[in-house]
Amino acid sequence: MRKNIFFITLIIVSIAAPLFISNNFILRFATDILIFAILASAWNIIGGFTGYASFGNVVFFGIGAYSTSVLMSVSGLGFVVSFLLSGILAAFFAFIIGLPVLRLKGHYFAIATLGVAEAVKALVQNLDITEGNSGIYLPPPDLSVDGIYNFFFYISLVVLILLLLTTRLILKKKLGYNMIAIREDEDSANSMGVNTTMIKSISFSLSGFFTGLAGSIYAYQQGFIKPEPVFNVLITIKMIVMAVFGGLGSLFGPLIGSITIEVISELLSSYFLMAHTLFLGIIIVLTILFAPKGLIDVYGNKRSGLSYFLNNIKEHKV
Amino acid sequence: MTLQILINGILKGGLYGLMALGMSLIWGVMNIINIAHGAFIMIGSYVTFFLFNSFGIDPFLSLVFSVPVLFFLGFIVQKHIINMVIRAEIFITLILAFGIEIFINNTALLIFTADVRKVKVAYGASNFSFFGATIPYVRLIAFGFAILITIFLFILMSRTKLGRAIRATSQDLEGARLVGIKVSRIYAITFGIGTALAGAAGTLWAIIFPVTPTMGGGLTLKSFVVTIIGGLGTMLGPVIGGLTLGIIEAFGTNWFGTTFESLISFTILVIILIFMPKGILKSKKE
Amino acid sequence: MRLIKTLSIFLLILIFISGSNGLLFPKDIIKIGSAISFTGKHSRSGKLYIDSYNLAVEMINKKGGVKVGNKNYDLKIIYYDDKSDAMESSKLVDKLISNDKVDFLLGPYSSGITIPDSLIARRFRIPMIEGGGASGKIFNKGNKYIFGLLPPAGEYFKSTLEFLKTLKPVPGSIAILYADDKFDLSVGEGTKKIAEKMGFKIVIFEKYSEGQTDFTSVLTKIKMKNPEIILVGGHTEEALNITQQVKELNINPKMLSLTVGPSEADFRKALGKDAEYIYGVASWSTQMNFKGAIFKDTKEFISVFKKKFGYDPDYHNAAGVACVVVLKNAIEKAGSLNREKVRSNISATSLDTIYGKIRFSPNGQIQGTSIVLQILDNQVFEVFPNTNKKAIYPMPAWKKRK
Repeated sequence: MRKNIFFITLIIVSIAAPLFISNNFILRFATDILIFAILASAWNIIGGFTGYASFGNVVFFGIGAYSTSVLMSVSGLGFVVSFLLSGILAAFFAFIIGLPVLRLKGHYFAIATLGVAEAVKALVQNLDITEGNSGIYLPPPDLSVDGIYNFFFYISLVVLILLLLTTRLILKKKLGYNMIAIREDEDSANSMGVNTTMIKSISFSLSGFFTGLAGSIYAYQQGFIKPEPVFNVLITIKMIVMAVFGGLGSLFGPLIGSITIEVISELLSSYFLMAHTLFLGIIIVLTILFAPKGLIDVYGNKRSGLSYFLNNIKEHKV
Repeated sequence: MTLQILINGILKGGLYGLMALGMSLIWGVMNIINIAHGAFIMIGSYVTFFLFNSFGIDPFLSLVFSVPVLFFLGFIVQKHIINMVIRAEIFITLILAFGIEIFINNTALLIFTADVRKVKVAYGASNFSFFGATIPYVRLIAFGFAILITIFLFILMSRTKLGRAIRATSQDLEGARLVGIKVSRIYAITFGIGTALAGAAGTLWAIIFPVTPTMGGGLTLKSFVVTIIGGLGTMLGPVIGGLTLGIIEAFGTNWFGTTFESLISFTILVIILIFMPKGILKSKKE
Repeated sequence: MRLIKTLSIFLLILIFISGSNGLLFPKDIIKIGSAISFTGKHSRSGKLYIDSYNLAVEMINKKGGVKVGNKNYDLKIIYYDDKSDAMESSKLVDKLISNDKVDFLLGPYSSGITIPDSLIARRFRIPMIEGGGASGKIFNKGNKYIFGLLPPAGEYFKSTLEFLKTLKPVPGSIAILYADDKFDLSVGEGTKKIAEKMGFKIVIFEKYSEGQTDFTSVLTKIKMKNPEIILVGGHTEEALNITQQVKELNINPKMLSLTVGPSEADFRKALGKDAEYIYGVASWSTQMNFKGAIFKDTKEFISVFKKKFGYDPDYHNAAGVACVVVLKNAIEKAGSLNREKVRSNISATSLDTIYGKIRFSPNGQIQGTSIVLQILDNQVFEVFPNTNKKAIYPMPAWKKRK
């Protein structure tokens, strides 16, 4: 019930917000937060619920971004079509690459996905159709100035809501139970007759689909993209950190994580031109040490104050 | 020309091997993927640069400094940070190492600025001819050091009490505890050795290539590839992996062009992971 | 519920802080915005521009500011750190425009970041002057609001090729090596086109990945073909690596010329004696002497700059200063802060600056060519088209040097 109220309030506030905010930067900033929330929530499907920590999810982001660019500027398609196709292509790639890679476990899976992302980046840097490492333009949206900012805000919001609804739906169905069963103990899930390969592939593809959509929005918003920024491993790290910071394996955790981290880092960087770069590293270390279950758990846990944080350490140290 | 390419590949491969040695050790013993490995290499390079620049200490000699400094640093990091979460889910340590890497890199950017530094020794680029191929002295000496350090580590791990304790801990944690090994300490020492090796690699790197605070990321990725090719759990793995990667890269970039270097190495990484995840040395025994 | 509360507090803080920036300055100030790299991989080059922008603004304000009609305005730059990240940068340009309500924009560093930024400048019709991106891709989309002070990348080596034509005998074979980012891609392809038209034979034409450290592979190929001339389009770090590895592999071209590197103090410091005889190109060098607009001439600029920042300025710095000067001049000519008027005055610029005479092509990029430099006695000299010192050609072989 609490979750429902939270969800509905959030939707209403978000939809109404642009009507009261005339400042385009706030909208743009909110859009960036939404994009990261999509990335973190999509990572949560494969990393949080299914238990496969992908360190290469940025590859779907990059594929989404580049599909949109190529489809729009080379094939001359409209944005909506390119947008959907980008998501589908990213999902398809996730499915294909998932077949061999999802057989690996733990660190090997993490490194393999990271390797895939780096390999695809290197490939895009060498392809002619993507104009190599020199970057590619997208046609600008044919809208008024305010229209542009509203458009990107709402489309990101729609994708995020869809993603959260889908995740919620899945969690209530058999698919969700199976995903969690794989996370808890893959071997026994397998022996209980769960088709783990299929479940993992679906989970990975879903994650890829939404990440690809986010990449597509990003590319169209930027108007020009290069391989290095859209395949940057730091984006993967950011999505994982946001998911962990908010609360892994919970529906709203990643959303909360991305809002908090983006807002804090924006505040810090406008006041400390240089020193703010230390923030991300510090927050990762502190979160992992003291609150690895994220903000959601900090609020929801019975323990409070110092003893909560110390207990986390006690549980995991050697 | 083929000989020259082969030599280029082998000389670089030795350095790759040393770079991956520390990563492979830490991974094998504690099941931690040290993403910050490249950042530690970078610190090693800066130690060498500053000793050379401020006191005129020969870069090869500065191994004596960079190795202990990095050992100490790694010891502290493991003892006070990573040991705290080592029993959490596997990716927790991975993301923690990322946090440490980001922190080190950005601190280095603030302290050293992004200026490109170079250790400029008098014998810098001197070379000799060898059956028509040209061999730079520094690269050859660096290669020699890399092999020497690997042998030294091999002896340390197989012949000393410490080495046996480390191996015991990696094979059977509870068993090691029962016979009175202090696991947290062994872990800290192992991590320290790993970063000390990174420091040594950093020193050798700084003699051949320029140094910047952002150089670490790419080296971490290279170390991954080498570690995966060689496979975990043997001292020979990183050496073989390094030489393999060095030679494949040298020939590959010669045929396809220099821009294909990362495409080649990461394709190898993914293929090896999928088809022989234990590395090329062990694949036959499976 | 506690969560919602906390979140709303966060949002309130954000709105409060982002909204308040615009009110801090008194009215007689022209606000210029720049999102540029204070941190990250471009922070080194970013700093060159930040220093220059600051110096130019300081000098202008000291000399009475900008005269619009009969009122004097001071210039004030609002900076944000783009973290060397394109997404961050374009967001910050949005912030400069919507929150800080800046009047005009100065550019960031590197073509990859300049393009998304310039698209936002166009969206709001705010002129942006930049000195950190020279790729043709910035200017070929008909964006009327972006102006660049670096000459077209494709023509960087034109003066060098002309110089080669004056030699006797004219060298026959050239190797071209270039990084695969936008800027150097244009350098490589442009150079090839011009060289072939002039009748040179290109024996190696190869690109490498931006940030590459090991060049032994391609240099081995070059050694086999033994070209007389090696031309390189890349960045400082790569330039250092290439020069060292050319020596390591004992390759002895008659000329080794690099776009970025030789003109910078860092390069000479890092390579020491090995930097000797290396050729370079630049749109500007410290030996040139131009009459300036806010400085008396280039000489004065150099001495003021060195005193303030403690390093030798290079063409990045001169271009950075010129960006601000061009803007000041255009505002004064326009006689108002109206952005359209200022834009057309920038476009019509014809101004003597310490960076040289500035005029823009219709696409917004500066007209002008580059000059040939050579490092002689650890200093940079212009050797062509003006001969400040006689060029040493061919470069002595590595093993024959003392």
